[in-house]
Amino acid sequence: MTTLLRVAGVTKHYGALKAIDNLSFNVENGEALGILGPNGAGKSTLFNLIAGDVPSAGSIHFKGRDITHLQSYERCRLGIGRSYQIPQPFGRMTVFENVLAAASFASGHGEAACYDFSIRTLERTGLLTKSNVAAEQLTLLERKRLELARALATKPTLLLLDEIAGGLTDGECQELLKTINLVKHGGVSIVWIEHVVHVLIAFVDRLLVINFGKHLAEGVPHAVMADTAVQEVYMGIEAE
Amino acid sequence: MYWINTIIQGALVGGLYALFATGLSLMFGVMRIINIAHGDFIVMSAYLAVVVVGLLGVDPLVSLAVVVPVMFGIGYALQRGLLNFTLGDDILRPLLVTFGLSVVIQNGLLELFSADSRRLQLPWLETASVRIGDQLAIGLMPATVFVVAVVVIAALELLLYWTDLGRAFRATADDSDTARLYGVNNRYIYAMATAIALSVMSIAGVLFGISYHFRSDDRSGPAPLRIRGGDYRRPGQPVGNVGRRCHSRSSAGPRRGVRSKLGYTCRTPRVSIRPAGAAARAHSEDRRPMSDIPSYRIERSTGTSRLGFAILLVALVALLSLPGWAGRAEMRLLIEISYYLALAQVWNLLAGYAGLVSVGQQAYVGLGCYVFLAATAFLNVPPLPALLLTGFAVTMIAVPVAFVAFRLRGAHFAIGTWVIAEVLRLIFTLIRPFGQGTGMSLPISVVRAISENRTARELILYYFSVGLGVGSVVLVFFWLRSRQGLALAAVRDSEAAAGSIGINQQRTKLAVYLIAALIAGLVGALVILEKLRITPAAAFSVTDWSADVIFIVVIGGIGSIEGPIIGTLVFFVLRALLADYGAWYLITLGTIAIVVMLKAPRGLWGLIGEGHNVHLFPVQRRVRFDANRQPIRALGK
Amino acid sequence: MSLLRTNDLIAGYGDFQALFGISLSIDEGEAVAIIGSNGAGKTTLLRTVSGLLRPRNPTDIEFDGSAIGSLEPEQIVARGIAMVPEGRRPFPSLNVEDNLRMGGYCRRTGPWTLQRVYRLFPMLAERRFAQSQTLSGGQQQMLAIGRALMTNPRLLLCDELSLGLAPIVIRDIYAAMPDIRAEGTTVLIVEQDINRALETSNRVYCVQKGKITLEGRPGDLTREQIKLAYFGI
Repeated sequence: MTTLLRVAGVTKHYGALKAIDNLSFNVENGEALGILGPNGAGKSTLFNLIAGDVPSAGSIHFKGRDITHLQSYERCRLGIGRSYQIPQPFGRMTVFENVLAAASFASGHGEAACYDFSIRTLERTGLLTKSNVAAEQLTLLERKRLELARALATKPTLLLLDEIAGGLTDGECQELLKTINLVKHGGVSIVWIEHVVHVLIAFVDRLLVINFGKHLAEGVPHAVMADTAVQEVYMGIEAE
Repeated sequence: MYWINTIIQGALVGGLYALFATGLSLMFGVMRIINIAHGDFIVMSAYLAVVVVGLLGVDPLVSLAVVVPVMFGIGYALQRGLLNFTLGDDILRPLLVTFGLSVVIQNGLLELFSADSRRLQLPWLETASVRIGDQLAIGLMPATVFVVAVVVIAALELLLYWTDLGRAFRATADDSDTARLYGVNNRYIYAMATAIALSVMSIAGVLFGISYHFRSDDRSGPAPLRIRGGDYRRPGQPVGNVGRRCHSRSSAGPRRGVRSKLGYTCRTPRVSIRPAGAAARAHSEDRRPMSDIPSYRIERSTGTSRLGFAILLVALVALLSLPGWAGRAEMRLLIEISYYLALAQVWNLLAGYAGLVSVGQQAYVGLGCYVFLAATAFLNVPPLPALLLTGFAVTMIAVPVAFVAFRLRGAHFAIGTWVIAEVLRLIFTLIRPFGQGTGMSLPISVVRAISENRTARELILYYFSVGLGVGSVVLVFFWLRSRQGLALAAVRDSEAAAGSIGINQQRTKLAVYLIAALIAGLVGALVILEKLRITPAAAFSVTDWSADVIFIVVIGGIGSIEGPIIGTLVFFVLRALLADYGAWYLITLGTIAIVVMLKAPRGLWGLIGEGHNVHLFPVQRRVRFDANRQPIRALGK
Repeated sequence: MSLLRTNDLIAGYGDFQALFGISLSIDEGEAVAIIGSNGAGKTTLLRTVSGLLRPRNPTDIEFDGSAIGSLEPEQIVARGIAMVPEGRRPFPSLNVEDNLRMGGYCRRTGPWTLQRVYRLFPMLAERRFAQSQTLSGGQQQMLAIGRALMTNPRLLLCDELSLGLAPIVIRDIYAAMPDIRAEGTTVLIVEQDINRALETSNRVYCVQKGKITLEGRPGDLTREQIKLAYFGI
């Protein structure tokens, strides 16, 4: 089967608030899915559910296996890697140690066995010259690179990117995009939440738009963006 | 009828404790500050009343008219001038500053008023009672306390729910940023909260001083148990603490300092051992990588650390040979230094790395004492196996405790661990075979079983302690240097992100907690072997096994291996220097802790070492590229 | 003279710069809307004006002629700027009436009293003693607006009033705008819902990546212009 991730009828309550409401969608092997939606639509909640939270209802299957009740570290070891919207580096560790930790714990191998791979990952993400710098001293772009490097070090089959382009200039965005492209060509499936719409549309194979935690539209980018419901809700522009 | 009487008595005494709890709850509710000095402010108020009564010759109840405003002012100034600067996400700062305050106040009172027991005299109220029917007599004093408690709590409720200030308190506690959007000045609100809290506590303090004898080192019973009454929001809840009886705590051991014969500073062993196995292969070795990445090596030690290793080796030799060239007093001192070092190292691991700020390690020290005692005295297990048994048993007990305690976070976890320790202490004061509150001695037969010869015994004890101290440093060093060290640092820096890269956070934290329990348990066994006699108060002493240890780690430098070593040295140097000045030693210690927490959060080592990137215990992994620093492409094999 | 003016405003969070030089002005009595996609810097702008965030240069923000950039939020509200925060943020421990009374804490005088707010939002009067957490999203939004009005502001900042609300609820909330403006309050609204923004305002600014990309009267701007400024495509 080629369906990598299957989200079925997932709902998530926070007290009286329904953050995600009966949402279902699939991610196929090797594809890149973009997720759009207005503020408060539930996008980050969705990511948290895929990466480690337990939904109030519904199920999540990954590689054919039910992961609904697995913890975040278990899901990581199965092949789900994620970056955080606001970078969460291990500040007092060096860049190299950040990536090494990811490589070692995701694979279960000892430190020494992961040295080569860690160096290679740092090179791919352009952080080699910062290997010995404490993560808390990095600039924003470097932290985003580290987020990506760390996620890649876990050798994911599914990579979740959370607003990775936010706060970056166009040039910086393009650089990061090159790396992400290489990742995609390496066979990794990607799910990407983004607000910088033009970056997203150019990159992904399919788009999913959610609103109020509910499925609104899904399909190829230009079709979805032309969808009147999407335009109304997301951009507030009336159809002409 | 007897039980009705008892219930009434208990309910009335509960009023006093309700007042105690209210003050603590207010500070915690509005600012999430756990005021460790809480009990000390209460005793301070009682002493203040003594002074006022002495100067003005008035009734203790009348002295409230002076005491309450003064304590109000002190509370305001304290919050505005000191505690406001400790607020933030890190719970360690306010915790430690109030710890420091507690020590300073306690010992300040000791200096001013000596250790004599006092009581505020109010003859006409103390002994009067009201008879109801034939068999019931209600003391007028407890009744007054109860009524006052009800009135004060009702007034507080009125304040919180019917006034602007009260609304501002609640809004600030909910969401201080949004509250500012509507005109609330956070710094002022916090100061008012503390001022009111201290005022309430002063009323409680004076009533307490009338009802019971008090001394400067009284902690007015288990303070943390009462915070479970809840936040300020429901000030009525603490009234639920009925049936508590007050008792005075005897001070745990001599606090006058140890005089060393020669007065030199003791050197603590420093260890930097070359790693074995896989790590050794990685250690300063050339790696032959695939052709697309530059040639590199991973360095695990630095120039300074190699020097440090040499120094440590010398120190270790000196330590091991010490019995040959030093006297009994020096050996005793080093025994004490060793177990503080051990406790400091594991507390640093707990709080500085795993983020588990525990104020309850004394639970395991005490358990260690008593398990060892039980094994040797009741089960006739020989000393050495008993030691192993103690370590094992204490660690096993720590497992279920961890599962309970881990459900709590941050400040709640800190208090939770303290509560557990207090509960254990109270349990052991009830167990008859252990001598209850008066404690128990290690049977002579057990002492003889270690060795018939006194000198031999002391030697054995000495090497055991040094082994424990040095062993702890070595253990912590290897732990942090290993893969587990990576996991710990990751959990410390960002627990959520640690999970997302495959680290089982719970297991990482549990491992550290169990190690800390094990070491603490062994220290407990060591303590009873050294002191030969133990009481629950001393075994489960929060001052000896938590406060002092926390001071050591924080002053020395939390989050490093060097820090606790430096801290232990400073602690004992101070003790030696100020040995003749009694309580001033502790006042100094408390003040230093406060200053360090405010100005140098990473402690002395943070100022000296980390600033210059010096590491005596190399735990980092530095990547060194061959040839130029630029990453080179296509090197070939 | 403008009531609020920003001069090349620069602000951010640590090394994350969010505003790259915003210059705008609002005259007394106007209703101005700021539109832009997420992450554009709209909320950062409001937080900087209300004092929760410091601008790089304190003189970059002027209210009624004086620089307010270095003031604390509690001082700024005393001058007459009130914020309806993003996500409402009612105080959970307080009931509806207490939340409103918190608005009155800064003791500014004006037409907005408890009774006047209850007249504007009758639903709040019906549930005056309810815990604020039990209100629906729309009701909480009304509460948040009422609370801000109780400070009797000269300038009301509204951050994403429509966030997470159903269209019919949004309609009810915006129905209160004319009343608010009739009392003389100047309004600055930040909105993701472009339609609402255009309908409610005299003038519109579009922000993208921390800079103003468009400015004008709603009637004068075409859909294409807005789309371009909004998305940058």
